[in-house]
Amino acid sequence: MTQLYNCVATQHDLRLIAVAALICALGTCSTFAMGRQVFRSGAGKERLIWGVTGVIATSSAIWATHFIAMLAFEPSMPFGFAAGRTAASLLVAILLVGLGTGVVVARPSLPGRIVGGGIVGLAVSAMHYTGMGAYHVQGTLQWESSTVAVSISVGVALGSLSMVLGFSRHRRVRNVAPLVLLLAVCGTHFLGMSAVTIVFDPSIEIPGGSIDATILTILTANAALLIVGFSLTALRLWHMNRQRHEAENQRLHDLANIAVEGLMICDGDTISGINCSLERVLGLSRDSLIGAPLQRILPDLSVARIPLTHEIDALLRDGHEAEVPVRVIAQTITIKAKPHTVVAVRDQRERLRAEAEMHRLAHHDTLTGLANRHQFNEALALRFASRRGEDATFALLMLDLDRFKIVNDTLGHAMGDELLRRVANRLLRALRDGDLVARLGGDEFAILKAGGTDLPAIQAVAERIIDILARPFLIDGHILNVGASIGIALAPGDGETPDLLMGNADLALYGAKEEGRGRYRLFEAGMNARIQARRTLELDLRRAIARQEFELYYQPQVDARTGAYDGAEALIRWHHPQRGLVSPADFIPLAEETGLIGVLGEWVLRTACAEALSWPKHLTVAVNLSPVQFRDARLAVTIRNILAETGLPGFRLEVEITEGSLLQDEQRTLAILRELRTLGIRISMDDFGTGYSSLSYLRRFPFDKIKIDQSFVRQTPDDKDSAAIVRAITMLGASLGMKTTAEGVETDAQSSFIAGEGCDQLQGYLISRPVPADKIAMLFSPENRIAQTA
Amino acid sequence: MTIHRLLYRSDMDLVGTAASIEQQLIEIIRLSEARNAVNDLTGALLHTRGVFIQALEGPLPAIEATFERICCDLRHRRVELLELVHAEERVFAEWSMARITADHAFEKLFPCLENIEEQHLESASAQATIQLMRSLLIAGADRFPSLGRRRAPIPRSLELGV
Repeated sequence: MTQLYNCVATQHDLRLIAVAALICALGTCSTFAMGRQVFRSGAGKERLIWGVTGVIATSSAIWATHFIAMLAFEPSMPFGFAAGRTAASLLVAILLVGLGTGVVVARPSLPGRIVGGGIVGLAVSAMHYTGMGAYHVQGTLQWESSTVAVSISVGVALGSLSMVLGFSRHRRVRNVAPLVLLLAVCGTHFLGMSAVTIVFDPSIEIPGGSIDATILTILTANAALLIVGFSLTALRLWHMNRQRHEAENQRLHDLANIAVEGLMICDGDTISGINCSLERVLGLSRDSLIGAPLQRILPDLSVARIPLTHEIDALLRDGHEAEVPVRVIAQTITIKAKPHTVVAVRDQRERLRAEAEMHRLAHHDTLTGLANRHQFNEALALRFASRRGEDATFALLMLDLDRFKIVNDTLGHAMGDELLRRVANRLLRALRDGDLVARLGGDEFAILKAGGTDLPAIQAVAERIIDILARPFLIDGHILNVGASIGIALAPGDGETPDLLMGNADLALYGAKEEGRGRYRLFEAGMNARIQARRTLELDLRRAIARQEFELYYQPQVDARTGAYDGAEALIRWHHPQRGLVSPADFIPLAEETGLIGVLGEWVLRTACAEALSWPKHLTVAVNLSPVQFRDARLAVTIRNILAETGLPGFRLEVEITEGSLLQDEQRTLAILRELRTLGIRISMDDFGTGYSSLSYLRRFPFDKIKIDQSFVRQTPDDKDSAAIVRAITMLGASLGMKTTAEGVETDAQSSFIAGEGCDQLQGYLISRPVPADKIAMLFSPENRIAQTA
Repeated sequence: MTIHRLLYRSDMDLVGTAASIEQQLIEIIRLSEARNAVNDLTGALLHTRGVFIQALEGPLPAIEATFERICCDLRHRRVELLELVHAEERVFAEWSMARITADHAFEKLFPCLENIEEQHLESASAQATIQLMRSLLIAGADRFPSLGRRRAPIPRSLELGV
């Protein structure tokens, strides 16, 4: 060791040794960097390039280390190098390093690395001693053979160790390898140098052609630095490039995975990649599919048959062998210089579901789930279009509920909706599968009955429906008896087109309603004429309002005790230019149905108030209000305006209402009545005794007057029951503080009986028929009154 | 919990031989027993001369659902609701659905066997019917004491030949 220390410290220029060590360090680093690169690379050509680069970088570094160290060696006598042998020493280094690393690459196992590393260590010695052969100095070299042996052994051992460490699994261990190889190089060199003693011999001449040591050293150092530098730079560039590639691949991979649609890369008909979306749709993992044929998931399809320009429908077979409707489109791309096909797979289930739902919504009534008008019209049109032979005949049933409106108006829409749902359910129970039931709107249903026009069968169905809908509906403690009416038209006899058939079924339904509801009617040719007549009447009624064909008649009311006039009830008359006088019983229901009652009612009020003005100041005028008028919340305002316009004081107006007004929306009706009351207007309950819950209404609103229905009055005093009813109502009125009026008094016997029971007012033919306005004014004139009382 | 009681009558529309109708009736009773036990309903079904009279008692929603099912059932015809009232206590607490078969002697005791259209059955009459049904059941149970009168955990029917 002393010998080695003396050799390095005293015989060498330490600065140049530092340069040599630096080059050597760079070289050994490059050795392992390139070596690992060889193992990392896949392709043979690439491995070869990295291998050759590594061998040249390593050998030139060893070689340069040697020559720079030789320059640092100061033998204190002239020296030089033989050019040929110097070049040969480099070649020896390249060959042996190449051989050693080749062994390591070919046999990366531990023994392989020991042997390969040993050869590399040997390369150092071989290069050193060949290089020493090129060293010319003015003297003789005397070798100490034992030290030479040690130097060779150290090189071989450390070379082996460096290869063992350099390809270790642990990064830290690997990092030590270049240092070990550096020690191998330096150890061999300096031990080798300490083994030599130069004896000055002036007789020896430095042969010509030998290169000046300094120049050689500078050249080798630069060349080695360049080679090593280039190789390391190349490695660095390669790494950067590779990182960029990897990042790009990762990005593409991520993009493919976040794509909503399924993507799959195919090499020919073999699947070479799929994204997460497709994994999800299939319920299969990527690994189980890569390498599988395309037909595994897209049977009956090949890559060549998937178009590039537009999507086509296909069936995907998922992990559970279930078929998934999809659309596919292809796109060619180049991956690693090979053409591949990207197949985009779009799951159609959600879209198909949405379409089916839209179709269902478009064709079904959302409330009941039955077919809607749209689908019904389509089905009916289809029946007409396709009817042949047996199919040529079929029945159409139009149905509507008899008392739905009252339920809806009084108990609310939620109750109405629940009722409709139950009606739909019961209808389905009463019909067979082939029959189409539709809700056309509101409480209007239609049934397209399959199976010909066998009349008994159709009547049986109609009866069944009437029965099942006549049964009570119990909803939230309410007992609803709605019932239904049905109109039936038979195709093609009752209508050659859908419109005609439906129109005629409607007419039959109308007929069933007219007959008293809760029944069915078959269409008859005569119905049309009757309905036509009704329509004409409706048109006439509209015109009559404009043409002022109406007139008010008045029937006086008298005090039952004194016989003095109290006032009169206004009654409407219609003078039709062709028909003559039309009964209110004929046109008032029509006016109520068509809504014309609003205008008509207003005219009656205005006229009655205006005409009553000419009467003596204490007489009242009574006007009937229809239940339909109470649906208009502005009724009270209208009446107030009329009073203001005509100047009639409120206390001279009396309005007569029937139970019907209270039946529909009691709260609204009562609110209107209270408002009228504040105007001083008196309120009478008309036709009392004919309804079925009159008593409860009397309790809920303080009427001024109860009018006993004429059906009871006419039968007094002979009919005991009627007499009892009249008596009861009179007593009831007296106890509630309400006046009572008997309508339809025709005989003296009736008059005296009723007056005797304590009834306040009489009205009827016995006193006077209804008379025109001028007549009533005459009747009420003071002279006449005197005459009457006299 | 408040209890309601419902009484209705209907015409029986069962098709088949006497034996087959009997079989259908047994099936109807069995099903309604099972359903009623689940829904906390009790009651009795009387049938004679092609007429059903049935009493149902229990919570109102369960009564409404059961009656709607009956109204959807075409084996009943001309279903008529005789009474729906709030009840203080159950009359048929012991039976999920007791079956009463009345013979001719007893038929005239039931005012609602005849379908009286457009005429509301007076509540007194409904009350009378229900009490009569109960009396028949208890008389039957006395005649067959082994049947007991406690409400069994497992729904069962009482077949009574009165």
